[in-house]
Parts: sequence; C-alpha cells; structure tokens
Amino acid sequence: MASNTGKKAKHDDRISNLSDSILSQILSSLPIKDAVSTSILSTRWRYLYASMFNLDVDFHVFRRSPLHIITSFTNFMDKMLFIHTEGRIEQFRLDHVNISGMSDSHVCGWISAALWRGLKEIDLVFAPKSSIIPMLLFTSKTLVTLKLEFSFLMTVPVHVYLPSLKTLELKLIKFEDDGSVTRLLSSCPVLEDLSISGCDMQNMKCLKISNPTLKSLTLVFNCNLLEFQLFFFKLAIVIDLPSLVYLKYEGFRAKSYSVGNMPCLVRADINFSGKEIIYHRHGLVEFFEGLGNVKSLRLTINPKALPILSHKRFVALQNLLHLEILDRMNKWKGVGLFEFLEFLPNLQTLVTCKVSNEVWFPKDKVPACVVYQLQECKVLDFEDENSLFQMATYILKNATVLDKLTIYLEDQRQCPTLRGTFGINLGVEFQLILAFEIGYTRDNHPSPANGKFNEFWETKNLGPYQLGLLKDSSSNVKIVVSLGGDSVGKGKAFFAPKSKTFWVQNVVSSLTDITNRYDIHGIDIHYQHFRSSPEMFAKCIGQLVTILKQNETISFASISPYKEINSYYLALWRKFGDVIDYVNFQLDLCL
Amino acid sequence: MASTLKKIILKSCDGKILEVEEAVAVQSQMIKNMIEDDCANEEIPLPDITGEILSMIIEYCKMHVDGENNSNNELIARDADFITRVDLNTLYYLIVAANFLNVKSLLDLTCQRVADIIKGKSPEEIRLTFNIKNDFTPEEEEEIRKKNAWAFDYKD
Repeated sequence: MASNTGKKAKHDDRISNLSDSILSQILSSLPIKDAVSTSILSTRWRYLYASMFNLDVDFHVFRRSPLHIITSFTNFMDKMLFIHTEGRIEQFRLDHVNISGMSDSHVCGWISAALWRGLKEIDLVFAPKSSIIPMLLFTSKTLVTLKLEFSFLMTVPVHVYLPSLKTLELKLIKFEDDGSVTRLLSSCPVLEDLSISGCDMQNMKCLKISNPTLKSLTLVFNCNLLEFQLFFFKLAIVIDLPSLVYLKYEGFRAKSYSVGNMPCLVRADINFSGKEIIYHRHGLVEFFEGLGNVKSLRLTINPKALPILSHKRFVALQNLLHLEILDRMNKWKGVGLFEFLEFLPNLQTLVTCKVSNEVWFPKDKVPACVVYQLQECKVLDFEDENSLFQMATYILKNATVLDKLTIYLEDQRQCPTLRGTFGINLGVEFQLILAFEIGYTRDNHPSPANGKFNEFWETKNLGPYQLGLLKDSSSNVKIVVSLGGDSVGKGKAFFAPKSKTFWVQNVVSSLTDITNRYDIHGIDIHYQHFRSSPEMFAKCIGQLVTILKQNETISFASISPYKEINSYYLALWRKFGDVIDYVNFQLDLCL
Repeated sequence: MASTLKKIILKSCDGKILEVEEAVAVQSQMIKNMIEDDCANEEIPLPDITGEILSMIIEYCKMHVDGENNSNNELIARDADFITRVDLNTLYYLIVAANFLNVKSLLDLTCQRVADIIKGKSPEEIRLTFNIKNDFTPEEEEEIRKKNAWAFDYKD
C-alpha cells in the first residue's frame, strides 16, 4: 500500500504511486485504446497494460484507419490473446463492424481465445452479415454473463451447456425456431436474469420461457408495427417461471398467453401502450391473470385497454399493494381507473398519472380497496381543477384508513381555484404541495436570489382567500410550501447561497412574510440541484427550520430527497434530524 | 431502535472515533473478517485513513445498506452522485482506503472514476491532470509509439 504519500504536496503525482493491482484495475475499466496509450505516460506505466483483465474493443475506432494501423492492432490482439496466455481475462467486450484487413475468422479466433482463458463476461455486438460466432460460446464452463446483439440468424448448436451462466441478454437477434430457444434456455441451470429485446420471432410459433431458477425477465417487443401486421400475430407465449421476482414486459405481440404460477413475483413493469392491444382482448386478460401474485405493478397502458381489463371475467390481483399507472403518450384520462380498482382488493398505494372529468366514480359500490386498504394516493397530473377536487373528495370521503393524499401542482397553468368543501376523515393528512418556492429572482432571467423567496405559483387563482376556504373545511388539511424544485425558466434551480447567515436571514424574513399572508403550515425541502457542499446545505436548512419553528412560523418541516437520498439530505438528516418531521420519499416503491 | 444494534468502533489515523452499525461496517471485507475472528470488540485503529476519508467511506457504505432494496438504476445514480463530488486528491485517498478496507464496490467505483477521467484524453492531457512526469527519452518514446502505432493514431 502506498501509505506515506499522504504527506506530500497537493500537486504530487499520486496516481502513479498506486499499487500495480489498482492501476491494472483502472486500465481494465478503459476502452483498449485509451488503456494501451497510457504506456507512454512514464516508465511506471510502460508495461502496465499487459496486466489488464478486461478487454473493451470497439472496431468503430478503426473504420477509417490505414492498413498499417489495422495490422498494428491485429498484431497487438494476437499477442494479448494467443501469446501472453498466463494472465486472466475476465471480461471481453467487442463492438464489431466490418473492416477490410480484419477477417471474420480472425476475430472469431480472438473470441475463442478469450473464452479459453476462463472468461466470465462477454458482450458482443456484431455487424450485419458477419459469421463470427464461435461455437465455444455455447459450451463455456466459466461464462457468467453473456450479451449478444446482432440482426442475423442465430444458430444454436445441438449441444449447449452453460453451467455458470447467470445473465443472458439477447438483442435484435433472429431466432431460428422454437427448438433452438428452448435448447438454449434449458442448458443454463443457474440462469437468473434473462432479457430478450427487439428480437425477430418470425420463424417461431411458440416462445417458451421455462426455467426453474430465473428471477428476472425482460421481454421487449418492437411496438412500431403497421396496422395490417397486427392481424398476423401467430406467436404463442408460454411462461413457466416459478422463481421469478421481477418482470418487465413491453409491447403486446402474442396471439395467446399461457402464464404459469409465479408465486415469488414482486414487481412487474408492464408497457402496453401500443394500439395492437385492443385487437387481442382475450390475450390481455390471460396475461394479467398470470400476474396473480404481483405486489407492485407499474403499468403504462393504451387508454383503451384498461376498460378491457375491468371486464367481468378478469380474476382479481389479490396481492397487489402498489399500483402506478403511467401513460407515455399522455392520452389516458383516467377512464376505467376505479373499475380496475375493483379487481385489486388489497391495494395500499395508488399513483395515477392523470384524472379528468372522464373518470367515473362508483358512488354506490366504492371499491373495497379504497374503503379498507388505501393508505396513500398520489395524483401526478390533472386536466381541470374540478375533476381533481372530485377525485380528492371521493378519496377523502371513502378511504377510511388513508394516511396521505398528495397532489402535484408543478405545472402553474393548472393551479386550481380552490373551492368547495371536503368531507374529510379524521386523521388524514392532506398535503397540498404548492408550486415550488425557488429562491430565484422573478424576471425573464432568473438568477439565485440568495434566499429571497417568491411565489412561483399562480397567485391569482390561489390567493389567501382560496387557501383559507380549503383550510376551514377541515383541520386536517395542511398546506405546505416547497423550497427548491427542479427547474426555473429553462435552467435548473440550484441551491447556491452566497453566505449562510445572510441566506438564513433572507429566507426567514421572506418565508415569514409568505406564511403570514397565506397561513401555511409547514415547509418541504425539495432541492434537487446543488452548488454548495452538503455541510453548507445541512447548516443552512437546519438553522432555517429551527428558527422558523422557534418563531412558530411553521409547525412542521419535511424533506423530499429526490430520486436518491443523496449525501446532502443525509448530512441534513444527521445534524438536524430532530427538527424534520416527515420524509417524503420520491422513490418508486420497492418491496 | 438503532441502539440495540451492535456497533463497531473505528479510529482514524488523526484520532477521530466513529461508531458504525455492524451492518454498515461489514461492507468492508476486512472488518467483516475481523468480526468473524472475534477481533472487533474493541476499537479498530486504521493507521492510513483520515477521519474525513473514513466518514466518506461510511457514508458510502451506509448508502448501500439503506439502498439494498432499491433497483439497480437508483444505486447507480447514487454512486454517480457520490463520486462526481470528489476531487482528485480525495479520490486518491478513497482508492487507497477502499483497497485497504476491502470495500469492493467502492474500489470499483473509484477506479472507474479515474478511468473516466483518463478516457478520451491525450497522453499530454493525462500527464497534466495527474501531474505525471514524463521520464522517457525521446528515443524511448518513439519506440513505444511505434510498437503500438494503433493506440497513438489520432484521427480526430
């Protein structure tokens, strides 16, 4: 270990003092050209590349190279793979294009040689019409990860055996026939992760995925089909995966489904946004019935498909706890939402991307999960304020165990004029998260205002009067102001205070002003981008919250670590955790 | 809740004492081995690691323990956020410490970060970035360039 280097001056060459094994790991993380060119840095680096254990080769680099460069590279690879055979090679990545001067059989030889050396991971992208898949690939004892991408026919040999393979990824490949896929999958006794995406299955009648150990399956079909092609689906899909935990499925391409019991299934990410789905009602119901045990479902769906699912013959998803309905095309208006909830008797969290006046609220027979199970509901977007309030009222009125209803008002155009009153259950916390207070000056060129906050929400529609009305309706409504947010104008909103004391003073005075006018209960810290250290963030926010609470300006504070609980929020939590009352996780629920 | 968990006590070379939950500490294979050998009941002195570096490593390990149930993409995003905030000097000490403590995922992450800094740079730029002194004679340099001409062929 290079331990005594710590005492040297700041600008010393520390990296060259790292041990050989660390430097060889660094070189192994580089594309081969970058790695080998380090040999010219200094004598320390001259021969280090020879100990690389990962080879990352991209032929695109040589597309316009003269012949002597190609020959020089070919000689190097020959030496690395055929002559210096004592070192280990763990990973081999090849992005192949046809280059004159490099024959397919030569390249095939390199892959075979690497496989002979006990390769653990291989990632091959082949140019069209090349013929360089070595048969050794299908009988490697050491291979743990195999990734293949090419757009020609894959011939699977009669004898396949991949005893160590855990991850298999196949992309764009044209499958030969039903038997070849079955043969390949049944020859991987410890396979855990399988991904088949964009593959051509014209030659197949039945795609049978059956494996006792598989934990994660990704199936992605090409969705961009022409209308007439939709009627020619002849593929049957049979899934028999007793150990599956995670399923990702995109594009509806099968004539029929047979999905066996998946008792371990926890998460499913289903994207049926294509139009083909409406021609295959029967298959759709079959597919969802196979998901019987799923606990968390993220569903992106064609607007016309949800009503199909709510068909009477559909069997309930008894174990579903978390549902997220998304819509990439932004066409779904919430139609069929509550009808679908009928089939989810144990749902605890619901995230819906949209509500509109087309949502039908079953007044006489409220879905059981809403009444007895629903603990959290999030509405990400809404078409008009009326439907939002209809939705909120419905949920608040009927959900007896609801803890939290969150409505996002990020888009200023949609800020509602708040009116009407709610019948709200006792003990429910209704957080209306207002458009974000950013701390930026409010003009055409927003810039950080060192702690002076502005209302970035539409004050015309959401003035003190409307907020008062809302609050009067129930003591459980809490109005929260968010500090931070993602963007301002076209740029990102940064946490960038110039001085701590000044920043805290400014925020306290402007927030006190805002909360006095609007009667706001608490603040939510929602910064996502930073131009300061975590310590600075922790100190500023910590002090701010402490002062606001002492002054009784607010009664609670929450943090919303975006995407990840990053070090900024950790620093804050560690130092000032006692003044933070809630953490709003902006994460996907992972069970 | 947290107090019932077993704590491991680590002491940095500048005398800073840090208490770490066992679940976090065992991210280090070295400490894990010590616990298994029943040698971790008293404070563990770490002669080459400063308090600052040690807190960063603990932050990293904690992030991985807390994020165990999250998807791969989330972990990758967190890792990226952690590592891009680190300057070169700190990066060097993190590598040495991750290697010593044998925290494999952190060693991979830090080495990858150095690789990302090197990637796409000319040898001269790399030397400047890391302050590497070129101790080759012009003849030696020429020989190296010739030997692997393909690696020094810059088209763009």
